[in-house]
Amino acid sequence: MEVENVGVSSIEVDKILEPQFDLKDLLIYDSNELTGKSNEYLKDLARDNAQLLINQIFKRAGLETEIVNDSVVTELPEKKYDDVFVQPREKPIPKKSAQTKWEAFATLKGINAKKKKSRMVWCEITNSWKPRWGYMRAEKASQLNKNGESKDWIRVIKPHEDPNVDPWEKEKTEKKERVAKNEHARLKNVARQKGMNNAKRQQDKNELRDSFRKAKFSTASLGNFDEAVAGEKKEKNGGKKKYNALFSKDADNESKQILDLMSAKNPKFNKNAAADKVLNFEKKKAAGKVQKRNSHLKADGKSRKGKPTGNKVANRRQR
Amino acid sequence: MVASKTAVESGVVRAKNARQKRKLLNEAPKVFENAKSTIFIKGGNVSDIITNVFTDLHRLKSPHSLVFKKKNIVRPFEDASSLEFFSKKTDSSLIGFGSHNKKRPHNFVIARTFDHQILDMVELGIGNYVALKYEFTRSFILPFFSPSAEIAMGTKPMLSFAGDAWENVLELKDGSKIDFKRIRSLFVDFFRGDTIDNVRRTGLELLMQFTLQEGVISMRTYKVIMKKSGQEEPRVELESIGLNMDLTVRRTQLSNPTNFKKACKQPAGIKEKNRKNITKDGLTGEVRGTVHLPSARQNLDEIALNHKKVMKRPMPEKEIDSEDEKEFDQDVEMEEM
Repeated sequence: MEVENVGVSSIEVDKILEPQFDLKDLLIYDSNELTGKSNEYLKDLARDNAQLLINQIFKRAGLETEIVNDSVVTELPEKKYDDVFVQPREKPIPKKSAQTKWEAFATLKGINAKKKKSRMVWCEITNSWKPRWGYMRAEKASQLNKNGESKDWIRVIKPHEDPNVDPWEKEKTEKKERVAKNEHARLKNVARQKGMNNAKRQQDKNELRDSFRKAKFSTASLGNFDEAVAGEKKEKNGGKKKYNALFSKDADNESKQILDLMSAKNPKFNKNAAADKVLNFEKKKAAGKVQKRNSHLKADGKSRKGKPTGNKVANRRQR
Repeated sequence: MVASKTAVESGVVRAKNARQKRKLLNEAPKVFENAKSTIFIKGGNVSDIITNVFTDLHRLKSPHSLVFKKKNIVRPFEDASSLEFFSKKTDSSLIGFGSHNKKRPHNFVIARTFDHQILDMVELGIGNYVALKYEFTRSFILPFFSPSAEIAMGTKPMLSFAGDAWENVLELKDGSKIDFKRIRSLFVDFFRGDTIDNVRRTGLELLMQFTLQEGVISMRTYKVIMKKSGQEEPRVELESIGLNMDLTVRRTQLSNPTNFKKACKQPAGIKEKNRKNITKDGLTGEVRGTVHLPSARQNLDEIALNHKKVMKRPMPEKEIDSEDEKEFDQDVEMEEM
């Protein structure tokens, strides 16, 4: 390496406005006016800015250094999050997931996480390392004889067991049931998490209005003599439904509007309202508060009340 | 802006094996994010310049970069949905789209996404392009053993933005505004590379300068050579290595400030909390702390420093090794306080 003019001038750079640095990303923002366009000018400018940046990194920002594998390594400071340097993220911030049912139980009971089990297990019978689970697992290997044939070709039926049940089929179906049960439990955990995320949204304006209305109505005088709260609007109660005139000048337009609404590509469908309705229905059903719509009718649509329909003459005879 | 969640993301469909699970975890939102990946996509018609620029930028940004081989007829400013789809499929949040036609020759669109939805897009016209002369290699033993025309792959470049125009918002004749601060932020995002905690001093080899004058961004790339200056800070010299271009700012599609702010939101734990009362002595490297006592007035006369009972208890007998006897004889006797 050559030694340039030893002196203060070789590393010093004069700038009218102090440039801004973000050393985490090795950035220098120089807001000084540009006075040239040529490549030579740009190169000189770049050299000056690089000198300033390197000065900062080497010494002037007071950064920690250490020696790693014969080279000097500088620890960069934290990223600046102020308006000038802030950068957008790639993806949104991860949401905190709700605990699964097991996790909640474990924290309650103070059960710690299991230690990781090793993949290979020593199999005494074959005198070799076999996987703990999966293909050619230790358990199964011990069930094979020298020719690779299964030793499990015969099973003794105990006195309390049903002799007509195929034990291998039974094993298979039981395994399928266990897997399905596990999957079901996992889906329940997922649904619980989703429910948690939805519940966190703040009360809608409409919801607040509803609860206010209900509170008002629950007084003995149905809220008629209550003092009006600041900003409270007078509620429209009742009134008859207004029907459009049978014969109107605007008949064409009105029918056109109706047709437009019906044939629109994007129907006026409130997804959130519909989803909420479904969610609420599920809740109510679970709580046993949902009555079947036509509970006054039987499944075949006939009335529950009154005498049973059918052969009245025959019934009379039986009496 | 509600991103639609697929069945996989919500957990209804599960990963079938460990490899799929690892992929899902890698692509999921994280507190400390992965390095932003870039995809280079060619439009219906592409010029030589565009192809070469893509090759150079791909070399600069490897391994966090992907170049699409086939052409894709996309009009980003009309409908960027296919770009968003590619972003999602390849898990990349930076997009470089190139096209060439009479109206917009050597067109280069730089875009970034948030949650696989386009956040900012800038359309640039490439002019005065000079190809990259240097090789980017995977070797890390570089400066001593390899030829000087090489820079280690994945070197984090130093970025310099010069000119007062970067701080301004330019108003065009048709009333639209170009916010150069946002464009500068987009360029930083595109060129800065991976987030690193430490940097090897000798690894500060790459410098990219962006100067803005009259709506044209001049990009120049240099290799940094450090020479002895007799002081701790070295004398910096630069060597032109190519990858120079003059980018004319054409159209922009920048997200509104609310959406941008939303995207910039950082998770809670990321800022290191200010540790009060701890100082490090620059000279000796000692870490010193200040302890604040609960009450300023402590009467040392009244505090029980003299625990008579304890001091009068006989010390437990220690078994002394014959070899260590001499050592014990030399021990200083404890004085009673």
